Amino acid sequence: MARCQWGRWPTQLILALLLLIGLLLSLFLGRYPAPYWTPPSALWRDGMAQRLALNLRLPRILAAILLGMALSAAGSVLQMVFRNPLVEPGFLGVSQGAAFGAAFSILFLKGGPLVVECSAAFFAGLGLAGSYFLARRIRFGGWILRLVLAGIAVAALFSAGVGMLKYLADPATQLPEIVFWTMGGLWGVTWKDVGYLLPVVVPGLVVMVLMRWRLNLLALPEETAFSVGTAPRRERTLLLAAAVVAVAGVVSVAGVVGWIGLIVPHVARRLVGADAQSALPASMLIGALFTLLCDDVSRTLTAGEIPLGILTSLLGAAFFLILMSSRGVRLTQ
Amino acid sequence: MNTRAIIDVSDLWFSYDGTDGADGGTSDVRHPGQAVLQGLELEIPAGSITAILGPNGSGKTTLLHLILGLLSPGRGTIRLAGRPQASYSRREMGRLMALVPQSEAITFNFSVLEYVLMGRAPYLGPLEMPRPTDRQVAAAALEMTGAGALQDRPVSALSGGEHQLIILARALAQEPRILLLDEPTSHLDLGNQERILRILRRLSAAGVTVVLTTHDPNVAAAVADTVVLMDRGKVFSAAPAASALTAHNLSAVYGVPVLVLQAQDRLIICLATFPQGTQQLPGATGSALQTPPPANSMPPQLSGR
Repeated sequence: MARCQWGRWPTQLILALLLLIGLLLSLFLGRYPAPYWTPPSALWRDGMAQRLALNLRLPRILAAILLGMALSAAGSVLQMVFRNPLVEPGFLGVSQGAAFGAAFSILFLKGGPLVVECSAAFFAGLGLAGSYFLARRIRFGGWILRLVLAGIAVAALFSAGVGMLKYLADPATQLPEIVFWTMGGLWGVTWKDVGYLLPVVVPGLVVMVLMRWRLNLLALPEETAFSVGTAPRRERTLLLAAAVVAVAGVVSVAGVVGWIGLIVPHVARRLVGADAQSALPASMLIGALFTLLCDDVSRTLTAGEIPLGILTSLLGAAFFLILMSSRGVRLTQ
Repeated sequence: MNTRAIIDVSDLWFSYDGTDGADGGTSDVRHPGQAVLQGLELEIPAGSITAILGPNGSGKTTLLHLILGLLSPGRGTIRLAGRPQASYSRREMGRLMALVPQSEAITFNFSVLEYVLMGRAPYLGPLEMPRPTDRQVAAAALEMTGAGALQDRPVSALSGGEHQLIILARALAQEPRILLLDEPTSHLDLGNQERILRILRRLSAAGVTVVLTTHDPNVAAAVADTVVLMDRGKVFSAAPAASALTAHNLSAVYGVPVLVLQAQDRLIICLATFPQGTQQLPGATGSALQTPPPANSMPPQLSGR
């Protein structure tokens, strides 16, 4: 197989093609004019169906793709930087911190979307730092266990914080918005939201993609990473900041959507190998595809909407159980 | 200062509690006497093999980490190839020096070649990916260690000896002038020990300066031009193997009676006593540290059950 900067071409190409096909097909999925499928002919003739596809479905599809890419890339980065295959943004207090930050800014800061995103990024970073330093202070268990435990505690703190904010919120205007963050989903996403997402999420993704080979080095034990000439602290901070910003961006629009960042990197490594040169892009493509399909199901399956976060948790957790009990997953330390 | 020395360490003090250690650690109430290195002086000539020998906890690994720049000294200077250590950038450092750590757990299941390629990092910019030439260097490094056939194997499928070989290959892919190895043979069987030591000899002949730590005097005797015997953060002696590895020196540093035998032109070093009894082997010269044999003890070969 041909090797290049992106790893093995055929796999990446097939994934990219699948994503493109998924994007196009998703335009025809919905509950107008009839449940499940909008025939192409309707899109040509029916002005309403056209507006629906372009103004509601397309932005939502793009948001789902960005959401999947950001969570999977951040999951890969967190797993490799922390040398811990059992973490993801939702396990380290990053997603919950971002949700708390977004809710907090709606209640107290009353600014525009930029303020919401900044506040989300700040608290997401705080959540990550909190998990990391707490894990270093825990006095029992190996590093993998300690980081997971610390992350669970920090995530729970922020979730509780969001719960408290609910009681302070104005039930008519603010409460629905806050409740929405705790469930996670993409309903009501408009072009405006995509506009807010792009300038935050895309730079984060670009940094992670450009530095993806360095991730391999940072996943080595500290003394080795240092000895091959990296500046581990600086490079880790840069990559983590990119991951936190990307996650904060998508969480401030979509709320907490769990498990994608945990399982997708595992699937990608299975498919293309552990080298982040190919595993990170593969992870982003698979994450986008998975999130897009889940979101398609969540908006078309029933007349109401199944929150996306519930679907990804259901599938993600089930898949995780299979993955962890199968051969080939190895956890040392 | 010796101009031929590629590593020149003078008056090096270090303590893990963050004080400079120069007072011997006595200023710290919780860890009195914790200075790991206490005014260490060391000169390592280019192209030689130096074994840093000493008991567990004598500061060997700390010294390697200081030379590498992973730790910064409380006091003292380290000069590398004539320049102060601090004047090197991270990438320059990666090209000058490579490390084979004592144990390296590789968390993710890279292929052997992917792993060895990471040794090319100091030759690549922050956003660069390995180029075809880097692949050639990495493959050549693997060949050099005799592990060329492992190239496409996942690292999780390697034996302990193979694992050590590919870590060495990763270090060689850095094309370093100085190769630091921390206890390179301590987990290996005899065959693999021999393989590693033979590679070190070849590297030294090619002009690479090799510095290894070991707690095993036999490893030092087998491979080193110079043996630096360390004792509680200081250099006890630094001399050619034959004159450093005496029963007197080793007994003093390890705190047990040690026997040094000469067979052909090799030194063989072993304990002069057996744990089961205190029967002395003939010729042991650990003087002050010897325990007198009990009057009715059995010969050592019969005392074990």
